[in-house]
Amino acid sequence: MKMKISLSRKRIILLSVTVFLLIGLITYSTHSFLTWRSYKGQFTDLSKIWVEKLDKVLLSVSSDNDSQVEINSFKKYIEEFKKSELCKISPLIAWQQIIPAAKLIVEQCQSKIVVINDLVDKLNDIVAYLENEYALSDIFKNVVSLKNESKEADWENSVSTWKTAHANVESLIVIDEFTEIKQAAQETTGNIYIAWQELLDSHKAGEQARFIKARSELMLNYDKLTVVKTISENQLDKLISDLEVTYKKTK
Amino acid sequence: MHLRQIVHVVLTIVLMLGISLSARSSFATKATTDKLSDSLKGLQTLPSVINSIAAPELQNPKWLQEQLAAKVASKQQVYYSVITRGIITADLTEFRSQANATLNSGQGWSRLGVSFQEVSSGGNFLLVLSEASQVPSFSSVCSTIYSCRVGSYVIINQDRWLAATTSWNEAGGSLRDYRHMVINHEIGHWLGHDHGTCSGAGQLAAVMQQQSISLGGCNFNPWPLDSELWSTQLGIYL
Repeated sequence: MKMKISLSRKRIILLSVTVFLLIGLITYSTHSFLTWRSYKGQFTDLSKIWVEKLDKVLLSVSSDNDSQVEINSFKKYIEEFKKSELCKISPLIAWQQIIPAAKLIVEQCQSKIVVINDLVDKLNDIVAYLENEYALSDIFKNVVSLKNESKEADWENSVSTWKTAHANVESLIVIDEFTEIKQAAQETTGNIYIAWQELLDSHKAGEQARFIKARSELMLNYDKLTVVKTISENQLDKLISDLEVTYKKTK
Repeated sequence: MHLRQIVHVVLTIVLMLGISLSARSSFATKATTDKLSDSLKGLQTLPSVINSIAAPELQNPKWLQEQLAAKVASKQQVYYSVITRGIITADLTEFRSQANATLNSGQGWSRLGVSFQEVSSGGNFLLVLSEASQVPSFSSVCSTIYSCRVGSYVIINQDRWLAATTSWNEAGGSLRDYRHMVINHEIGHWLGHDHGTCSGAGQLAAVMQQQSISLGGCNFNPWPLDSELWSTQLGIYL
């Protein structure tokens, strides 16, 4: 007996669509399942990897190397870390966080990387701080070149060198953590410049008492440079201590 | 061995192992953070740059040298008298002669171009040898422990004159040098100086540093440094 199966055109289309949707659904489900599985497995390892990478960068710092080279290695690490976008999940899958189990996985990942995120931020602060400090050091290097034994013929040059140093400090753009140091440096360089100017003017006027007073002011203001040094040392100590506290949390 | 004892031993071993592992891990973290801190501090450049900025050694301009030479040529006379307060057990004659020798020493304030002459009363200042307990009677800022200067009174504490101070003696300073120092220091105040500080470890202390209290890493020095050769009281600036 011959069986005659006759399918209408409409039915064929419906069947095709159903099969296509079914395949799509299976593919998407498999993809979702695999993504979530690998996501869960990876985040523990990833945070470990980034801490280890950071260890490598931080602990290989050597004072024998050029400071700028070391700073660049920090910057490279920070850039790589920011690009890595840990815990980010494809938008195609992300909506599944409405399911509590999926949401929990993402939250677990975020809690794992929160410490390392914080650590990278702290390192970023130190990098920015050191870059400000290098800029200030470069300004001061110009006054180091002034002669220690200073005759009257050298004083005009001293006035202009300190004037330039003061103007350069004033125009420095710095981060918040460096503001206090900039202010101290600005005040001290300004006072040294004024004292040099007064010394030169009193010399030109041949006024003994005024000259002696300016000389003594000049010496006092040179002594105050140690204030800039002390503030900068304390500030870096504070930033390092913040970094250490966060660093310990990664262990 | 009872079962209880065995359990006890096993638990103790486990506990010890736990403590040792946790201690090792905490030591390792500390060592790492120490290295981290040292490494990062090593990247700092500002302190070393600032350290290399030294105050200039200014040479006096020619006009000032001439003015000062003229001043030194006409030596200025400073008069003082010696008085006492309280019960004095020290040899007053020795006090007079040693104080005068210090004042007119070629290493002392006479380098300002002045000579100090004792007169029977009055004078520009009064040099007082005072019983320790009487020193505060000149001013509440003076103590029974140290010497002091109040207005035109230059007060030497008898206890210090006789025995210097513990820190001075421990640093190996002689009593004669202490007497030079205390006279020069208190006269320095009369001349217009405030207290000075140690300029760096191993350097000679300024005579205006409070050497009776602490040398602050400096070496003791009874005489005024070149940089201290000025006086607002006498209007002399060398």
